[in-house]
Amino acid sequence: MTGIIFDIKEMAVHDGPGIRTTVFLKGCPLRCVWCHNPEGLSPKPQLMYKKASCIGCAQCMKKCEHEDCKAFGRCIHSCPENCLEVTGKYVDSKELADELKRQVEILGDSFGGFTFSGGEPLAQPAFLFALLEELKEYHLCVETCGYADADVFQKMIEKLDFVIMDIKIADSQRHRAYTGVPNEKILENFSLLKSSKKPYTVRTPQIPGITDTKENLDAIQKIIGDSRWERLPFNEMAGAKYEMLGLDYKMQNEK
Amino acid sequence: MLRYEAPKLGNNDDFVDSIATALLDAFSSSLKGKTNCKGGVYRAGIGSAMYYLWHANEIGASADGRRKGEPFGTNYSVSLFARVKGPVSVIASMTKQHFGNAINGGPLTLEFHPSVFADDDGIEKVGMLVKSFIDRGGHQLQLNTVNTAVLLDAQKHPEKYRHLVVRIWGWSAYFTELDKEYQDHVIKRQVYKI
Repeated sequence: MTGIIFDIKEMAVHDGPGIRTTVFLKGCPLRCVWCHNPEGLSPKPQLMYKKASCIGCAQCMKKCEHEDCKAFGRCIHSCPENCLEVTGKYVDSKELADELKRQVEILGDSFGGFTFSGGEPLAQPAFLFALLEELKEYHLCVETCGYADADVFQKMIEKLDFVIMDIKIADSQRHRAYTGVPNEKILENFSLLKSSKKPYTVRTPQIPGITDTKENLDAIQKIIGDSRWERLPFNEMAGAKYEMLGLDYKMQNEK
Repeated sequence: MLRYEAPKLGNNDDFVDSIATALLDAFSSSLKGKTNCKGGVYRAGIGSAMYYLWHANEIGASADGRRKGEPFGTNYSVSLFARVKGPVSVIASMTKQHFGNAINGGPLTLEFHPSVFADDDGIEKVGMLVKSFIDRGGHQLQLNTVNTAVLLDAQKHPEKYRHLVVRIWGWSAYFTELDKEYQDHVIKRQVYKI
């Protein structure tokens, strides 16, 4: 089973017990205006260009024969300053699982488990489920926006030890305005999670004027009741990666 | 090409790591049986002390893609510009060698972002990482907590940071009292966030 990922992060310590490893799956159904991982949005490999380090040598414009350069129309291997980087790599679930298991070997008793994040892991359900199956003997966690079909979401819960789910905006219309999708599906999936016996945490990114309004936070509190709730501070560095991807950052004025 | 695309020590790549093992073995076995003028034995070790800076100009461009004049990594550490997967893979790579034959030690330096130490959970997990390092036969792990932005600001406004202490190799120092080349070296080292 092939899927696309954009990063593997060693030594994640806040998403569960022990020293964990987080895998970031590429592609997301939401378009949150504040997204701090914009390379996780598109389900395809993308070129990242660090303009600040570019010396204008134009080496990358010369014709090359590399197979992996073809999609980008320039040579990604010739930059003397390492300004060009492809984000997104197609990987086989079995091979990725074998690679991940090496972390267990290294850390021994200190190893905690694996977390799948994104992007949105549920945007590649078959790939995610293949990974969860390969790694089922370990502590497994997913960070999800909750936007998925109910049967897929239910199946995911059953395969996990811990779920981290975002509830960003309580009002569906506002949710659509700032994330691109309404939130009915998300709230339905949240009730599935709540009624399951699995431990979970709700997360809300605190975006100034959008999610951190008293009205929104009160409404979320009503939905989630006494669930464990983490409110994440706004990341001011969030805009940094947009320019590298040739994207516009809509939160520019919040910096 | 060599600098950014060739495989690098620090990624738990058995092929690259075996080169380090062969080098260290060759070094330690070459000292076997040799004695100094007082009859003392030589012990192999990989502490480079200040030579990672002193040799920067004396040793030409090297096969890892390092340019002449650029410093080496501290002691037994990855190249400054190497892209590594993270601290776990670095530890895996740097504990494969036969340190039983290099009893003068091989200090590995890792820099963590201060957010790692922000709560008890993070501190406990760094402790777990240290334990894994020792369990795998590591000798000496030097941990630093550095915030690159703070260090850059300290270079500009040393008067604001008189108490800022950083780990250099076998010793710690007030950052603002260091020569600029040492300050720059600490800034260039890879910082791991969580």
